[in-house]
Amino acid sequence: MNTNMKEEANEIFCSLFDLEPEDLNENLSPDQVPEWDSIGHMSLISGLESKFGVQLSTGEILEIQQLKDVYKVLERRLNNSR
Amino acid sequence: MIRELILDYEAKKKGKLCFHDYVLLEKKIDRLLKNENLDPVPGEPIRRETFRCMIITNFTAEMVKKALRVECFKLGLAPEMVSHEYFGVVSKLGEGSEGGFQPDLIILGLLGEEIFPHIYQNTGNANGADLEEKTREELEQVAALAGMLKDRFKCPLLIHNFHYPFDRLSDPFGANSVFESHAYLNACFHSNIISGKKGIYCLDYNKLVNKAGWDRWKDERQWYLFKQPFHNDRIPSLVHEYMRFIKPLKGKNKKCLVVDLDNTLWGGILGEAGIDGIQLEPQSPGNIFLDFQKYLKELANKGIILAICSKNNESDVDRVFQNHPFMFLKKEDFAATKINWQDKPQNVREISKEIGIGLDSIVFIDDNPREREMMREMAPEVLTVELPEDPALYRAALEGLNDFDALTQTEEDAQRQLHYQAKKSRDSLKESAGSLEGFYKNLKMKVAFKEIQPASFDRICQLVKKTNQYNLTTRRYSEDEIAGFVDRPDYKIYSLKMVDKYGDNGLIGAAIVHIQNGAWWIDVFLLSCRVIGLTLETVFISKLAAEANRCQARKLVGVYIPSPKNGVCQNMYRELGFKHIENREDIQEEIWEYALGKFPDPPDYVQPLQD
Repeated sequence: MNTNMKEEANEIFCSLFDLEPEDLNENLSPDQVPEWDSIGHMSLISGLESKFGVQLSTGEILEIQQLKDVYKVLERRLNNSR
Repeated sequence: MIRELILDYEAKKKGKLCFHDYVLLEKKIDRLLKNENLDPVPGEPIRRETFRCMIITNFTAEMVKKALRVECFKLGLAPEMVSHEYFGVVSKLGEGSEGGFQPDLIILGLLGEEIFPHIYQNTGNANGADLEEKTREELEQVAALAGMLKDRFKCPLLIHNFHYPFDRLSDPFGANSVFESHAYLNACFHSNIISGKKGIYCLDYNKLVNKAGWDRWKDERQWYLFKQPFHNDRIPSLVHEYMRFIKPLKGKNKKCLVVDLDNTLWGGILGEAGIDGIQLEPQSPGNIFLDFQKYLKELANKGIILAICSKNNESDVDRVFQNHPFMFLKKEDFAATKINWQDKPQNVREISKEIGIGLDSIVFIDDNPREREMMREMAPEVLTVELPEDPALYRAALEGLNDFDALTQTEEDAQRQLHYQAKKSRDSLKESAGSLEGFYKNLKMKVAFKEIQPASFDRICQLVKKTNQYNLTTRRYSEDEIAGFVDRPDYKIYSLKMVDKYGDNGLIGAAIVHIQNGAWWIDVFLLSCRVIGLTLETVFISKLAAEANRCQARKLVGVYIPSPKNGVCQNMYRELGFKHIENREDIQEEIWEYALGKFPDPPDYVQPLQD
């Protein structure tokens, strides 16, 4: 796991959803994060896309259901682009 | 405090914000607001004017609202926003379920795809009279809603027009002409809904999409998942258009554009190149400046007041206005002119008093980054535009602003220049509020004062040959003559080099001293026009005085010979504390003296340059 990528993704996640780094765990999902509604989801996608310079597919946007899915999708993307 | 937060954030990002920046800013703002409410500063009421905006769309406008809120806060407003879905809004408003929300502005943004399938989709193909009837029918619905909103809320209404049906399969051989049906739609929209209606304005969505390009504009993912038709990164440009209406609605639009002359209205430096040397002819590169002048005239016709603030000799500039064959703007196009050697923030303050508008209604353009920084430092209320280096892009930089729009354009707007011109007064003005010293300090100037060296010989000769403005004697020595001085013990030649935060300006000052009976006669003293107004004459003379002291000179003698172009330095010796000795009338020389031993140190904001 690329720790840099994870940290950067966490930073976006925290700033968008008003969380502290110690609040994070891989299994966080919209049920547990009040701000992670559909608007929050689109903000998250747009933040990840600007930060990592990628454009996620419709499928990937739907695939992200927990924090760990963010890592999974990004890792796949960043590995493929290399 | 919120406004400052946004401006700081923008400054950090150096320019335009991307959509994600708006999302983060909105978060920060909401956090600040929460604290304000929990812990209001006693005795310090939060003064932000409320701005209520209702957005009615047939697409998801949630993301747009985020950026729009931030831009409103940036104007110093406290935005409140509600959004409604177009279908069903009539019955919803009928129920009164909007809870007494009285908007200051209603934005009605409709996508053609949803309302006019016969134009936007192949399946809904229609032709001729059928097409026109269907189009009119649907537009009537929109017109009815617009009328109802006007009646009910009595506030301005901003309505999108319709973008080109890019996604429709077109028949390359013209059997169904997509462009024709689209043109009909917008023409009909404009004549039935916009034109002649007070308080109803058109937002040119079609132009906005075309300007960005459809492929960059659309976002299929956002559309299918979220019902937002455009890419998030296009949202700032849409909000930018909204702000063009909101600014004048709230009286936050700009009224006056103050322009520099050299390298702004024409290419080159008038004081150096002369009237025949500036670039303003219809061929390149003069055509850049000629077209820019025409653009400024268009702005003036729209009601923007023009004014000049330039470091030049006014008589030279007058000659350009009167005699240059391609000078497009007339002096009468400018409501105020400040053509002098005073610092520009002071000049702009005077312009604002003369015209009778606030500094916060003024936009300032200048090609020189130092002048811009000085304006930002000393008159931060003025909007100083970051002009690109390439003059061909000046117009685009001004068009990128959304500050010049007025909601009703009256005949008076076009006449405004004349009114202001009549009102022109020359009241004496108080000292400027900002600090010049702070500006100089901020420039972080470093200088190197040196005797002539083989490496600096050519540049010194060039300065002696070419410098017109800051040149006390305008003595044009040839290279051979200067080479001769180098070999003589009774002549000394010095140069000044300057580096500041904007970079290395190279060798910008030269002086030739003739030593006679222990007196140092300053035979040549000059500064490049690039650095006029930065107090480098003080620095240069004090270095020269220190050097003369070191060589045990008796006194320093300054000579000023007036020329048609060197008015800028006519008071230099007086201002530096020299004593006036005589005027040699026959050769028009002024002689000034300074007894050495106590010459003041150079200002402490200029540091020595280490090699």
